[in-house]
Amino acid sequence: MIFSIVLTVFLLGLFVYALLQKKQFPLVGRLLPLVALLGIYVAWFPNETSRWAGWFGIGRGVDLMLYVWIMASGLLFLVLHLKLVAQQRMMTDLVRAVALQQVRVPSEPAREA
Amino acid sequence: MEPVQIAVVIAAYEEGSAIAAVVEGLRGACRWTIVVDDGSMDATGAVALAAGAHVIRHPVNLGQGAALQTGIEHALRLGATHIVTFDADGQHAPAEIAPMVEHARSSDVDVVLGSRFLGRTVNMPRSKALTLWLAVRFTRLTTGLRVTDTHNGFRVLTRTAAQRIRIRQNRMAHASELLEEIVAKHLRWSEFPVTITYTPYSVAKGQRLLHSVAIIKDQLIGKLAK
Repeated sequence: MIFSIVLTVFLLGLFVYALLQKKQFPLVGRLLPLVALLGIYVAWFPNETSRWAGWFGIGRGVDLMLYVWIMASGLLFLVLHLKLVAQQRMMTDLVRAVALQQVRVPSEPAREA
Repeated sequence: MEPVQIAVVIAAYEEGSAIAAVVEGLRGACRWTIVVDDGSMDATGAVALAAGAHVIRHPVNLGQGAALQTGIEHALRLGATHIVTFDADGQHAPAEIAPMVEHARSSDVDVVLGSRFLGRTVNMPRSKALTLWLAVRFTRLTTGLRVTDTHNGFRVLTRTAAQRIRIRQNRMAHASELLEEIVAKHLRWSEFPVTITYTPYSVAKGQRLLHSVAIIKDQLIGKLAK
């Protein structure tokens, strides 16, 4: 009971956070509220997960939750990595623009290779 | 036909002990030598400048692919008709630049890729040969290009090709990306026999088999990030 309340408070916070992110990250804004609502449902009706697990041929509901968690973590890792790549590309463009403004040329033109 | 104006672009990271000889060796082989000092902590930039190269310095280390793209953009601003990418460790032969550029002109291709397997290698380690054999098969599979060599830094890009190709892979995966760009942009290409001379210095600076895994990872992430 206590843990269900704690989990609900946490997931409600996640729900609000996801809605706030909707403009900047549409995918996160759409998916995360659903995940949060599903989490709240599971927090109060844990036996439901065992029924769902049966649909996928998994013995226990807790195992289903674990597998889903692992997949979600992997997806989150990939999304973060792609965001890092996007940031890196912006940094590359910036570094290149700065570097191309400060080209050093040989003082004697005759020395140019 | 417009006069040939060759710019050689060299990406250099901590090559202070080798870069002067490479730049001096290019004298007479090109109109401009452009060294992109990719955030080196040593005197690579100063040494290259003293040897007669245009020097562009990245304030931070970005990788060979990023450095080449920077150098190519500078070469285009200078008005180069042909842009040659060249390694900083002295394993390429400056004397082969002129025949490669002439091949680009006479064959009317956009990109000429140097091939050590059509040409020759000197002192190539066996492990390198095995890595390249695997890399060539992988490249053929992923790009559909029937290349005989891959990740050979000795290439010629015509001005048109250099304007159309954009290297987004900062690190070593740029070599694979360049081949993918050839396919995507429908550029005409051919290979040309070149000589690669391995020295203890170039072998120490070269890629390892483990780097291949990182290159494949960067390729996959690069495709997802497009």
